Amino acid sequence: MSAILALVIAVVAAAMTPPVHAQTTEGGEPVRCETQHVLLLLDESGSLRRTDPEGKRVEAATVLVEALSPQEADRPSVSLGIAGFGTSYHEYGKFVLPTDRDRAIAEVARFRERHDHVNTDYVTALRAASAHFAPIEAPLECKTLLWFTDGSHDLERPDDPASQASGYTLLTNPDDITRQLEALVCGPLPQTALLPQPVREEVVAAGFRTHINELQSANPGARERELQGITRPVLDRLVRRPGDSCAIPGEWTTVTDADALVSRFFVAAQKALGKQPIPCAVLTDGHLRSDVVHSLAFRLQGGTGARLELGDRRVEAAGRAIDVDVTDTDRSQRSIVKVNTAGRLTDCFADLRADLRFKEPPVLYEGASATAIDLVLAGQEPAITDSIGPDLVELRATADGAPLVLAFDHERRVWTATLSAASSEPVELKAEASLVGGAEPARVLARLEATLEVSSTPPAPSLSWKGPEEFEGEGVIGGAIRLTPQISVEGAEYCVTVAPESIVRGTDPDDGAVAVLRPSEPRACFPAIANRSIDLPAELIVEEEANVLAVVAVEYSAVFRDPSGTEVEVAAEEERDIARISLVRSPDRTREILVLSGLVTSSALLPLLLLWLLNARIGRLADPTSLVALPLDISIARSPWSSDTDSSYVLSRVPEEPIRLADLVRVDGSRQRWTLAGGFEVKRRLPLIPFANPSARISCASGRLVSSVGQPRKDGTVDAPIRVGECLLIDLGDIATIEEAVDPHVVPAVFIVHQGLTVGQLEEVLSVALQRTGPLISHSSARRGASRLHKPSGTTEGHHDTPTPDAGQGAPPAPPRAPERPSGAGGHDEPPTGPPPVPPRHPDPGPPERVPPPAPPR
Amino acid sequence: MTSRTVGPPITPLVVLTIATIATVVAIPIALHRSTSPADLEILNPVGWLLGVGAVLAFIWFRKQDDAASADRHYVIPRWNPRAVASVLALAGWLASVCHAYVIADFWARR
Repeated sequence: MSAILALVIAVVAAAMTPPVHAQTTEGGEPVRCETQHVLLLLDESGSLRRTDPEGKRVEAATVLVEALSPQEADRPSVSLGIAGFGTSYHEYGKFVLPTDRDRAIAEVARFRERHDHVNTDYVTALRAASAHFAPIEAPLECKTLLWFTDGSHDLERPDDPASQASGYTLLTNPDDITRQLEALVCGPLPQTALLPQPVREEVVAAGFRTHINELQSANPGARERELQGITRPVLDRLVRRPGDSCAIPGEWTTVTDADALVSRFFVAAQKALGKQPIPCAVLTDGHLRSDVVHSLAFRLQGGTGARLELGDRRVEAAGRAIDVDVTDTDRSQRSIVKVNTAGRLTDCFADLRADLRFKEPPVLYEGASATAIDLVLAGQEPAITDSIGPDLVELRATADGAPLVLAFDHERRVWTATLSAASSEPVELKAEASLVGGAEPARVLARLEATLEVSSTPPAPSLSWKGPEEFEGEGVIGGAIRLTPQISVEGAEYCVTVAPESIVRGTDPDDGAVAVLRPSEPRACFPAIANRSIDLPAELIVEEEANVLAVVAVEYSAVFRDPSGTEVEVAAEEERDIARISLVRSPDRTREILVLSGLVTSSALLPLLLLWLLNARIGRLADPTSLVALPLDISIARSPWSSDTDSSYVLSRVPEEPIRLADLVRVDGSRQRWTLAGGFEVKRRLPLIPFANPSARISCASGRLVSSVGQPRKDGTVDAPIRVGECLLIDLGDIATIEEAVDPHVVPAVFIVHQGLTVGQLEEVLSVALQRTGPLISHSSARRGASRLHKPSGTTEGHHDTPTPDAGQGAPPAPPRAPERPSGAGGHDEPPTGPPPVPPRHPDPGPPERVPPPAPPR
Repeated sequence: MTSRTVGPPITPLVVLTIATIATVVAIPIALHRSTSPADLEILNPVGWLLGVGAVLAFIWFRKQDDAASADRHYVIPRWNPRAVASVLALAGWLASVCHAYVIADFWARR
């Protein structure tokens, strides 16, 4: 009774134990640490000023703290002690990671200035580390000393009180110093020693692993080489000769550059956390399935970051040392784990937890000539029955020491082996799985050791689904229930009876029944030959379509009939999961077309609508409140250079009086339309085509006008750029009679200018506008009731595009051959003698090489 | 005499190129990552939006190019940027139609 109670208590206690972490020992069972105790012991000797002037040790120690600090779901807590040594030993604090991460990093940073110890006393360092670990109750694998030194036990001042505690004597011969150090560390202790026991004994008693990380100068000096020569024989015996009487658990690594030191500390941290080194190609080539991974860590060289694909989840990671926790959800997806990066991965580690197990417990039937064994390599969730295949792992197996041939059955997703000889003795089966990929030696991922007992009862045949694993809509899926005997017995046969109807349910408990499985023949008999399957035709009837992952489970009974005709029931109404089928609804075509049309249309129309709205917003007239208008009368007189075929006119204001501010009127309207004195109107024109540019349409009361900007139209209006501002608008009135009219002819006009000009400037600007507009009116075009731009003296050819008129530019064309005005006012009645002076306000009136549009026919 | 020349706008063309390439590249990646037609891969709506972005970039290019071509110093490069932009926009839009089809197919199975 007490034994049962003890067992119950033990089981309950085990169930309540918090998650612990596995530390794999060589050849033994994993050791689980609740807390990983790490002591970071950093050299503080003065020699660091020479060997590590840039403080690489601080950088490496920071990486170590960061690598020990990831927030992983089931990782052990880390207790990190930070200490320094030189002549003496100083412990600066204990930090629980990841909680105290920042404090620990700050403490590590202070070591940049800690390099003033005279001695580098290894005996003191190891004794203090032993004293640190001795009170901690934990297995050796859970206690780690990370020891950074520049590599030389050096007693410049053996008479220092701290060093005297070890009982050093004054020696000068290097060999004698080595012998003394060796005696103090490994024993037997010399007569002069003040230690109670050799240091090695204290280390072993405290029970911890030692990682010595030695930073050497690339070009060591004579003194440095001498000190190394003194120290190395002792360190060799300590950690490099496993069988030596002075050996302690640990390793010693020598590095010469900062990156290697960072690498060593990173590796040490990962080992302390119980992760296994894996070839980095396994990660970059995608040779790992997520169900066996609990966390990943690696260092990144080059590149800005890495992207991890964990099923549906994508993890963007940045930094030099990357640690990623793999969640239960990631593992349940059983997807390929892959790292994509432009950089290079180094020091790759993973916390892998895989099981190599039998799909069904194998039975060695005493009368069988061969027995098939199905092995599954997968995550630790027992429900996973589909194995990782040869694309990711390789399996080796032996039966009683003899190699077994293993093959992967892609249909059933299992590894199969056949034990060929019948035996009355149990068989020792050993199998191990290793990751494939990478040039590094393959590491064992999982092992299986089992003793297969011989049974007088034959095993039941295995069942699986042969058919499509994905189905759309409702209807019938044709397939078969595959029955596979596990043993070969000559003359024997199996008879299997499957339930005439099995309910297929979704993996989600809320899904309920989603389909029905009906075998066409519920019973089949077949010979007992290992791995020779027979198929029982069956239909999977999906009555209501759904988007679910369905589990196909079959209830069956099986009878084994031996050669003598004796029947043995090997399975009685057992239920087996034989497949997982992904069911998908068939698409609603109407909805599909509607959605597709909507998306396609909007992908074309949305941008156009946006552009049109942008046009409408940008393509507005200038604010009328920023403008003023000057109504005036214009005299049109024939130019002295006019000929019968090419007439042009000179314009002048009448009467030629100075402009008064009182003459100015405001421009009424909005940014869509201006209304001006004299019946002139400027309207915005927004084109329906989004690509076209908005423009302004200028019209007048008589229906026929000429403007200093824009292009005349057939109907007598003018199209001007939307940015129309300073311009002269002239109402030509009854143009058809102009040639008969008295020369000069006076017509009403309005001049629009921006506010803020002085009267003098206004007169100058008006003068220029008059000069420009005059040549635009030709006699012939006027007779036809229109005006046209003056043809320029030359046009561009060759590679230039044909320039468009003012649209978009807003600059009025310049008169190429404008007549010179007389020095007096008026001037239109006096013959001009040269080109007019150009006011300074418009030194460059516009490009002279405009191609004028043809004058529209009347 | 002046050697000043005006070329087509490069920035919208670069944006158009990037959007088009991203839209097209998103198709095989989304197909590879998709596990079932009943699941929508996030790259599909992203790809569709990128296709719309390509069309927008094309319009932007055309607006800028039209404005630039009004300059008498405008020079049409030998590689004909208007034709290139048109082909890119068409490719981006067609790729966005592919993404739209996947989205519509997913929607039709809900």
